[in-house]
This record gives sequence, C-alpha cells and structure tokens, in this order.
Amino acid sequence: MKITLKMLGGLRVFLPTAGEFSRCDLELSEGATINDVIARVGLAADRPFFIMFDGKKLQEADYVKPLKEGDEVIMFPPIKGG
Amino acid sequence: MSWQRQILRVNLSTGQCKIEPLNMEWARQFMGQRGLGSKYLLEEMDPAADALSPENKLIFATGPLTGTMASTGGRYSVITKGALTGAIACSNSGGKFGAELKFAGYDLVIIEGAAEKPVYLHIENDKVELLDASHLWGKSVWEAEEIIHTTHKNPQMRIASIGQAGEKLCRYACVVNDSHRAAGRSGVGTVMGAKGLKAIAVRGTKGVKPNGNAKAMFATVNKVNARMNDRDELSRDGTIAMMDVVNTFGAMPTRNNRQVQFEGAEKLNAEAMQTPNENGHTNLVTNAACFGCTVACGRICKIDPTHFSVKDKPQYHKASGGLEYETAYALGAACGVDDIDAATYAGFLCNEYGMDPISLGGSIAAAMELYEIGAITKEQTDGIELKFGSAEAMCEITEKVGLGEGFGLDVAMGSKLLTAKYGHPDLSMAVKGQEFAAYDGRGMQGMGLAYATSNRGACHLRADPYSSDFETTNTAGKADIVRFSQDQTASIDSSGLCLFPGGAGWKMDDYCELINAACDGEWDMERFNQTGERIWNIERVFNIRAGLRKADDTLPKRILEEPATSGTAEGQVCRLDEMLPSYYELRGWDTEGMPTEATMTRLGLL
Repeated sequence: MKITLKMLGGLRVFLPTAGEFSRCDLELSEGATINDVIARVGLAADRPFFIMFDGKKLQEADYVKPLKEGDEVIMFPPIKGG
Repeated sequence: MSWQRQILRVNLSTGQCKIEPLNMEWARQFMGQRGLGSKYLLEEMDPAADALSPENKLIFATGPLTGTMASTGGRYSVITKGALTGAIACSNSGGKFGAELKFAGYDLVIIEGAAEKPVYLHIENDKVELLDASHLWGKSVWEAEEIIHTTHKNPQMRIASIGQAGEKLCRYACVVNDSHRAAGRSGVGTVMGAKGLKAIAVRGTKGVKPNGNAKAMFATVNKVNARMNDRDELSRDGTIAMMDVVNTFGAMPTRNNRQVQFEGAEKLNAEAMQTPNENGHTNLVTNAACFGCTVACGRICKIDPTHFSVKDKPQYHKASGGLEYETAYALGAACGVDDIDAATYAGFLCNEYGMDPISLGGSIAAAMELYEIGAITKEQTDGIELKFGSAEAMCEITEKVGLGEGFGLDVAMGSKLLTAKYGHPDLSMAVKGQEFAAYDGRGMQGMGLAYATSNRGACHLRADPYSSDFETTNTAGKADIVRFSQDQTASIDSSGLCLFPGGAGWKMDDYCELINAACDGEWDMERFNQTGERIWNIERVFNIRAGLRKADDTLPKRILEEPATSGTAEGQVCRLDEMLPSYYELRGWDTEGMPTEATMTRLGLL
C-alpha cells in the first residue's frame, strides 16, 4: 500500500525516498504501522520527533496503529522560537 | 574582561554626555544586557512614571559575550518602561550594532530626559556628541541611515534608529539597526521617539578582550560551534520552518484567534518562500547572519515586482529583510491573509517605518474583527474594506500606521486601546497590552502560562515550553517547565548571545561554558540559573512598582473560554487556573504573585 509521509521543519532533509520539499510517498506492506514508518525513516537517536495523524498529535502508545492505503503520517521536530 | 567596565550616560535635557565606570557588583549579579539593564532601570527611575515622560530612561545594553568570538555574540537589548504595556520592556536585536557599541568601549548607554529638538547620538570610541537631527525627523529608518552614513563618510558606522512610527508615537514602534534588524517589541522605539532621539550612530575600534586565557576561550568556542555542524535547518529554511509545524499541530493563531489552524499556511511557509511562483519569481534570495553568527537564520527576500503592493513602487523591488515566522503569522494568518508578497511588503514597511510586525498584525487583526462584527464601519476606516483575508486592506492599514495617518492612528494605539475605544475590549488578543506571538495558548498550554506571566506582556521568547507543549496538552508539570525556562532564557538574554542556537544543537551547558570563559569568576549552571531567577524577580518588582498585579497575569477571555475549533487541542481552552497557583508557589511568590521576603533574601535582592 502507498501512504504519504510528511517530515516538517528540520526533518525534511531526512525523507527516506525522493519527494517534494517536505513530503514523499512510501510503499509499505499491508498491515504496516506507524512504528514501521519510523523504522523506515531511521532518524538518529538525537533527533527527537512527534507524530501527527488524522489531525491529532499521537502518543507513543498509538504508534502500533495499522495504516491503510492513502493515509498521511506527519513527523515534526520540537523546534522553537520564531 | 569581556565587560568593557564602562557605561555612557547621556542626558538629552541638558545635553551632557558622561562616561562612568560600570557597577561591577551589579555586573556579577546580573551579568549584562537584559539583567544589567533591568537593574539600572529599577534603581534609577520611578517605575510608576509615564513611559513617554522624560522620567523614563532608555538603556541600550550589551552582554559580556557581545562582540566576542562566540557564535551569535552580536546581541544587544533596549530596556525601558514599555510604551505599549506600561511594564518593563526589554527588546533584543541582532545585526552588527551591538558589537560595534561594545567595540566603542561601552557595556551600556543610558539615555535620560528628553531633547527639546530632535537629536542623534554620535559615538566614535571616546568621542561622544549629540547632533542636530532636524533634517532627519520625518525620515524613514532607511533614509536616516543613508544620510548619517553620508554625513560622517563612514560606511563602517552602525546605526540604530527610529522611523516615522516612533516619531509619531505608534505604541509598538521599534528601534531598527542595520536596516532590518530590530529591538521590536513593547514600544521601545516609541520611548525613543518621545525623547526626541532619532538615532544612535556608533563606530568602535577598541575590540573586546576575553577574560583571562584567550586560548581557552577559543577552545570553548570551537567545541560548542562543532555541535551545530549537522544542524543547518535554521540557515536552510529560517524560522519560517515553524509555520508547517505549528499549523499542523493546531496552535496557529488565525483571524484574531478565532481559529487555531490557517488553511492558507502553505502559501506562507518555507516551501512557498523557496518555490518560484507563476511568474517565475522566488521570494527568498539568500540567508544572512548577524555579527559572528554561524547559524545565519535571517531571510533576504524580494517581492514579486508585478505584485499589487509594489508594481508602481520600484524602491521596494530590491532585496531586503524578509519574513520571519512571527512576521508571516502576524501579517498573514492573524489577518487571514495568505499572500506571501503582501506579507513581505508589509514586513519591509515595518523595517522602514520602525514598527513591531507582531503587534501591528495583532492590532490589524483586532481591527478586522471589529469591522466584521460592525463595531467599526468604512467611515471610520477611511473607506477601507477591512475584512479578514484582504491583503490589500492589510497593506493599506500598514502604510497608514507607519505614517500615522487617518485610521492608522487608531491601529497604532495597539489592540488593547483600539478595542476598548470601540467597545469590545475582549477582542484584544494580548497580555499586559502586548499582542500574542505565533502560538495559541489553547493548543500550547505551557505557552498560555508563559504569555500570562511574561514580564513584558505576551511573548514567545520568555520561556521554552515548546517541547513539552508538543508532547502533551496536559497541564501537569507545565508551571515548573515555564518557571525554569524563564530563568534560563533571562540568563541567555543577558549574555550577549542569541536564543536560537538552542534550537540548533547547543545545550544550556554550552551557554554556561561560554559565559564562564568570558566573565570574571566561576559560572556554573547553578549560578547561571540563579542569575536568571534574580533577573526575573527584579523585572517583577519593577512591574509591581509600576502598578501591575495578579489580575494582569491573565489571558483574553477567548483563550480561557472559547474552545479550540480543530487540531490537537480541539475542544480545549487554556487551563490557566490549573497552572498559575503552582507557578506562583514554585517562584516563591505569595498567592497574589508578590515575591516573598524569603525569596528576595535568598536571591540577594533585599
């Protein structure tokens, strides 16, 4: 199945496949979860991130959620200032 | 000796300029810049005095690391009683002016009194003079800089000045240096205008010596700079990278905080800034750095020359200081405007006329809501259809505020006085009279508390609840995070360094190590944190003496009573009542928010 991955702010350079600016499509096997997306991205341990899904910020316990075709997963870093 | 150990005192009423030794006891207690300037202000003026009266003082303050080899060590602050807030004001700026002032030999410049006729202060090391500025009055920041440079035939001179907005006492006028860096918030430029001081022009050649071992200082600088090696996101995308994050999360103040997500955010974000439009025009030209900075987050941008705002104004076709995240929010989402060229144009005008774009955008947004509910009409707005989403109206009002014309004079009062004048004070999205920055206190609960308790009114740079707020909207623990980070932020603001390396790899220990390398005595994290706490408390004391009370530590009704309509915090209000009592307790203040005798004694303030 194909989902869209957005990586915002400073994370955008870590998109796992070629895409546009801060987003890319990702091919995943059926039943894949948000944890699988995180594993595919493979951010270094010193790159903290949060996940938005379906309009809400998720808690880590929700990362086991299975995804479906067309879903959008958004990763963003704890940036600050302005 | 990273302090220069001397201050310049300038009395505009008498014309006297005097060099004095720096009070080193205060320097060791309050470090520099924000802390030291606040201490001098508290000791030297009656906080109850009118901000626009000659009794108010205006202090330009550098930090011990300003002008040193430390990355971002180019900061200075302007400290005064704020014209917008009636509270203590401390506005921080980068560029190159601060380092130049330090090179001339001064930690602080204290401006007193008021000039009978407009003047500017000219400093070349020990040579200090007040010069007639009649020919500069009425000129913009950009014009004044050019004339002063030409007059003194010295392109290396650095200038901080006010534009027409400061002269005409727009309540949120700022002090602009190096054409497009600004001590922006709380109306510090308004105070400068009231004093009849058009500009400070400075050239310094004395340099700054690090304390003790220069090699050790160099080693520390190299060590902490290495942490930024793979952290180039701020130089690549600038602060506007926040746009997608905050909007997606659901904390983007939109249309005067009616909503917390803006459907037009993608037209104002980093991608929009870097992608050619339908005419092949790209907004972003390059990035730029302040003095000694290895982050270089500044945006240098061009407006599409065919855009309605500038098509007949070629003077705005060249590259200049572009949109920061806060400017894009205030002149974009806050007004419901999704036009990046219009926001860039209005941002240029803020630099040219000397206005704080955050308070300007917040005040225009309040005016737009007044218009939409019928509290003001076209007769009052000089015929402008002041609707949310109108880029034309936003640009037109910006011009009128900057030049102090027509309805612009109402908007120039700030949202608090504007909404009160037209009978709807609840529509001012401000704390202590200062408009919100680009975060909504419902989506970000800790930021709500940070706004409510900020000593200079609503501000996003007085605490660091960001990570906690993105993690959870649960209020547990927020009071301590806000309190602790307020203290640390106060110390950074007193050092001469910028807050942003904290988002580019630096840790608090790194700031502390640099301060330790630069200053007399031992500086460890305990001293770093306690210095911040001491600064926070003297700012609080200033505000109490100015007449502010617990009732001023609050948020607009909309944030406390109207739930967020979407995003992570959908259905939630800011639960300030769950956080404020424990915040006071953690600060060692009584239930009315007054620092207790025990706290003041512990901090050495009694």
